[in-house]
Amino acid sequence: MNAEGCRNLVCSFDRGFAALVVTTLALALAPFTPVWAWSPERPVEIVVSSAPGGSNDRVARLIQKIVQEQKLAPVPLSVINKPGGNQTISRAYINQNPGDGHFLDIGNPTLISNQVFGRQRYGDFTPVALMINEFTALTVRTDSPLKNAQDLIAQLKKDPGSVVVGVSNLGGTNHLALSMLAKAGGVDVRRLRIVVFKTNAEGLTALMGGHIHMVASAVATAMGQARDGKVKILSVSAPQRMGGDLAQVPTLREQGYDVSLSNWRAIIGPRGLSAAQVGFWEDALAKVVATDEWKKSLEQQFWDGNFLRSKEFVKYMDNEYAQTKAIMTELGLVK
Amino acid sequence: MELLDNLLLGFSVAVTPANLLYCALGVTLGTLIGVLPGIGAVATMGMLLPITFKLPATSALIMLAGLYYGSQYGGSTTAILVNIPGTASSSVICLDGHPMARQGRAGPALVITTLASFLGGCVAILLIAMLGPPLSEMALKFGSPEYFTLMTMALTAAAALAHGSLIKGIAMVVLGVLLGVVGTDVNSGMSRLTFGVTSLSDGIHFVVIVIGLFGVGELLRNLEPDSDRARRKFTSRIPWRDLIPTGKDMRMAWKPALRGLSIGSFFGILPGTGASMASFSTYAIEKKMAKDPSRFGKGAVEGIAGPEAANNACAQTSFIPTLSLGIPGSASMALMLGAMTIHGIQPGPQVMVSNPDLFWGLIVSMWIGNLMLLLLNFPMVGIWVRLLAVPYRILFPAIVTFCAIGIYSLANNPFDLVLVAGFGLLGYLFIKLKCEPAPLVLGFILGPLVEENLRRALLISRGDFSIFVTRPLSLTFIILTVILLCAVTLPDIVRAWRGRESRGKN
Repeated sequence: MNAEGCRNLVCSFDRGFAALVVTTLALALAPFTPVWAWSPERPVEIVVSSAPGGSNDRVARLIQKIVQEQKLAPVPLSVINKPGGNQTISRAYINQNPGDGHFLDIGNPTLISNQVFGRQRYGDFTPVALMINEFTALTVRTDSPLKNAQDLIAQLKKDPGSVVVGVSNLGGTNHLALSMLAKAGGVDVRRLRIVVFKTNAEGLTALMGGHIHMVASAVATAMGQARDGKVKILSVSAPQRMGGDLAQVPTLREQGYDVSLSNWRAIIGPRGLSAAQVGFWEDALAKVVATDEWKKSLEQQFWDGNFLRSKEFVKYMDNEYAQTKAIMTELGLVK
Repeated sequence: MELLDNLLLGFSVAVTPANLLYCALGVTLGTLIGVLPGIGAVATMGMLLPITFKLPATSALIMLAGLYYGSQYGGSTTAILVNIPGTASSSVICLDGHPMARQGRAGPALVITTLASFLGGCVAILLIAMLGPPLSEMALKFGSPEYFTLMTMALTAAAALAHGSLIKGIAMVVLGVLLGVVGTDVNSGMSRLTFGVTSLSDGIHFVVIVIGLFGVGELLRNLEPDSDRARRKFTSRIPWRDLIPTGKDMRMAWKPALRGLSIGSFFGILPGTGASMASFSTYAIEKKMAKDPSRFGKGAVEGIAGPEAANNACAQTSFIPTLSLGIPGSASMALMLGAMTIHGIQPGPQVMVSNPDLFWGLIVSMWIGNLMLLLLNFPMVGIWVRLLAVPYRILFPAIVTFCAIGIYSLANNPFDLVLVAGFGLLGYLFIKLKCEPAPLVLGFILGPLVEENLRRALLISRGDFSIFVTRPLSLTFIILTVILLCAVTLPDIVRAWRGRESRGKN
């Protein structure tokens, strides 16, 4: 039947009904496809570059939970852990499917440091959106003579090796934040006494047992113990004063050192995602960060919401790269 | 009494129909993944986590916990039946459990490991309920020097593991240590022995080594032309009566089980040590204490009762630092804490006070779960033993397939499968050369820990070795190590000396 015949057959009532059906359908699909020419058709994998249970994994699972509960994507999402290879394995895995928006990965500052170390280039991936900031806490025992960042710098100036600091990853964000503070205070960063533990939890146990003097870790890791009064947080690497339980803790900037550094988490995709694919995920994630559940979870885990879309996120990473490379060179980790 | 009130509160939470169901679900799944080689609790908990999003926090944790300690029960089953440990910590069960099966005593071996698991689990839960917080303080006393001296002591005890040639034993330990240092060095961030292979930069997974050396090696041996005759005895139909351990078995098993559960409980509390260390140390100690150590490795009941109680006790007490300090001692515990935060509970020492229903509900559910596991595993013994009668040409590909799935689930990395194949060939070579893989495994676990803690301790002391003798705990371990060394070597020295003397007289 041609279009002409069709028009003749359809009476005005039917036409109205058809319009109604179309509108209803469009409304039903509204969360998925109104603007973007692309939406996922198969189950989506969120690949996590570290083991289950860590912060990367928690961010991924929180996003998975909210996207599914709020039906922000028409397909199921699964979280897949591919730890190993300084996180390069999971990223090499998503890049096996260039231009495929069904593969996402939790990006973090290791993307940047891997490029500084010459392992993998962050430009080889498509940035989708920055999601959160996780800041560094400098934590000491409650009975420590160090009361604030100035005390710490004064002590380090006298003898950079007199404070034994536990970190969980040499060249990781927490180590870099401490080094940037030391540098800002005029201390030779190469002479800092850093002890590396496999996990922040092990370092914190050593701190509570009095075996080391300080731990530089994610805020949330230290907070459980700090709330119990076993340890105290001297300062955090946030740009502004944090809220909740951390309202009493001054930032490094407030104490006179122009240092702020974040262990950010983001969503990235394989190289070559189209504008439509990036746009679809940007919008879905924008809805994720607007939910009450997201805000509540962030507060509980002491994460700071910092949603940036793809374009701004690229600028953010470029800036981060320059900063990271400078301090890593200073530390002698790279030439 | 406060404890009684708390337990009552726990019961009121754990004995609701829904929570009983989740507990049963958790332990059943746990038994299953324990039985399947390679598929570990961490991977399964990771997969189940999204399902728990919709559950109340307590139910979710009850189920995940059940999955974790349930997997410790099932782990020894395949170790006994086909010499493939279902979980890493049950690899030591291979040493005596599989020889028992080869003698047609798979039934008693399975019953004893189930009973030892139950005993280890239940007593350890009692410890958590009564002494959780004070015990967690103990973990704080352990700094790097203490870890170093404790591990050295354990490594010395490992000398007892080797039977046969001492030189081969030492060579295997050294090889284990070398394999253990593959990957990124924690202290310097530098790669060692990775040969530019990215997949090696996080080291070789313990399960890869264990399944390769013990499991695939044994599978290859069973493919030899004359192995059918050797298998006939333990694959023949066994009457039901012979499934039950004899009175003599039980008398021999209960003391090692008690020792095992104390050692296991101790290691569970220390973060970063784990159930494998507990079961291996227990085995070494049992062998040292035995009147006739030569029976070990040939089907000694003590060699399965002790380690099995140890790894279950360890699985339970590892909840102590997790729940009362908020410090996870292992990857599975980190996942438990992750589940708590997803459900909006901030882990830390305050959990006991802020969420008593969750804390005590979980503990009581562990008791119930252990009871369920006992009831679940007893009737299975008969079924498992019958499984051996399945022709090997069918059993073999099935086992290989499950191993492959399990290995892949470790890190979703196909490279691990290649590694397992390589270690399988190596394992077969070791069988041919009569080299025991157990010391290698111990070297693999302990070597990197010894190194890491030695370097950390010396970093803290600025290179001063006196840090090891000026701290009372550390000094105690050193003295114990020396005593142990004397106990191991003196009889031989005396014998050699006497031999020379008597020769001199002649």
